[in-house]
Amino acid sequence: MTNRPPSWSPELRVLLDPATTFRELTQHQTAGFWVMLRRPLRLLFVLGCVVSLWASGRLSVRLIGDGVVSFAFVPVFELAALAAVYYRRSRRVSFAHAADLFFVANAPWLLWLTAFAILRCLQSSMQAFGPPMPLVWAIELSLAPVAAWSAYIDLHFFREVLPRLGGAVGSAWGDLILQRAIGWTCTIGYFLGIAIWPEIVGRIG
Amino acid sequence: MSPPRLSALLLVLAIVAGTLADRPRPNPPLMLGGYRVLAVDFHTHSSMWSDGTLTPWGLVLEAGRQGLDAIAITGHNETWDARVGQRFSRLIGGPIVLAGEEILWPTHHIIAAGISKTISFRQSAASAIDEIHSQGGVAIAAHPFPDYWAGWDSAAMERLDGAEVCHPGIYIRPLGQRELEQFAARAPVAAIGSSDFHGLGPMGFCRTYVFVFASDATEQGILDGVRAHRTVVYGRDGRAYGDSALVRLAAEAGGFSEREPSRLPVGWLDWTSRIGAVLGLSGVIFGRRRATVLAGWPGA
Repeated sequence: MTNRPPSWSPELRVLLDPATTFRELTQHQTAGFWVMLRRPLRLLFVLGCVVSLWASGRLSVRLIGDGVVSFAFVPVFELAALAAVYYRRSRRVSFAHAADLFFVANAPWLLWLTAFAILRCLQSSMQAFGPPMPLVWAIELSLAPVAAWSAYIDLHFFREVLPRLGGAVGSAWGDLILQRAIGWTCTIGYFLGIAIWPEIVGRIG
Repeated sequence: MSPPRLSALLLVLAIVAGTLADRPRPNPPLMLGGYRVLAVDFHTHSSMWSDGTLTPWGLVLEAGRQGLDAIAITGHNETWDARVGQRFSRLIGGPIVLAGEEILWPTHHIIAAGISKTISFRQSAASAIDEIHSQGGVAIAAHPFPDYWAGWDSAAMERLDGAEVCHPGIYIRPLGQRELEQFAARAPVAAIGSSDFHGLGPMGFCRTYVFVFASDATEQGILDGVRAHRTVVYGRDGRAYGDSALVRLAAEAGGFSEREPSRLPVGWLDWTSRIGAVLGLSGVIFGRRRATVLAGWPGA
């Protein structure tokens, strides 16, 4: 075990310089079940905390636990989509290590969730129940730059952590598109599919 | 103490404080004018295929925390999660759970409360309401803002049992309250207040006070109360809607103000939980840490 001076977390570093951060993190090879699961579990915990705060204005064991169960599909679909990309060809890092670093790339979404939690902490129950329309629009519009930032970081993940051996240009883009296509389709389909389907059917006849 | 440990400690403190504050609200039976008054939220969604954030059993427990006597779990075009919640609530002796569905179609959304089988969304509002009634349920117009008026023709309106006059939209849309009033004025319907709970903001913030007969605090009693329009709802700025005699009766009793949810000030336990949550989460995710090469908690 080597002690170095304090540094910022990988999540913060990847927000600012994803290429360098992933290169550094890839150098320390790790593997194992716990390595694969630690960041997905942390993501779940954060989601549970956000659920608890928004439903009740506080953190409670009951609501955190319920939020964790409700949103378990998020890391499951992320891991499944990553696995579909990872196992397409030979890789130089273990799947566990790749999964761990892939979840570091959730940093923009973690930042957004933290901001979303802070917002609720500042609101009364009435403000949380019926926020003014400009705030609703601001929250919805903020998702686009976060999604773009996340895609940018993931592109560097696929370039630095899972490059095609032989260095073919464009493979990182292909991996990103495939991962997004699988992950987002499953996530949105599961969470919103039943609500969206009648709108689609009703409009196309 | 290292920053990660401090962040973790703050989170633990936040969770302890919040869990201590997370107590069911006292909810003694309310009797008024010979009626038993039940606080009901007719429109809630779970996370099981219905884009909510709580599980069906989580909804039941949350209803108890919010002082609700009954909820309808109204999944989008499905009733599976409602049946799960209903079974769970009966098991633990929790609030009454009405199995329901929110029937979605681009021109109208209908709450079907007190049904047992899923009703197809591929039909007109009038036809869907007939099917709701054939199952013994009640049909409530869900958030009938102008975007959803197209499907409510005269055939549907004459069959409708209730319409939401209190919904989060009355706080979000500048003219929301007036729009719901306009819709409800088109036909004699029961005034309904619902939170349309998906997890953003407290359940039961808009609620319906259903007046049932004293010995009939049951699912059937609630449905009968809606059919007979024995409801009182408080909308924006505390304005009362519903049966005029019952509104007067409620006003004489103080308007159920002590039961109105979440207008209470935030206590010190809640503030401790919120501050600890924000600082703890920020620190755990983004904080400085000693860069040890260690196969352990993410920090290396």
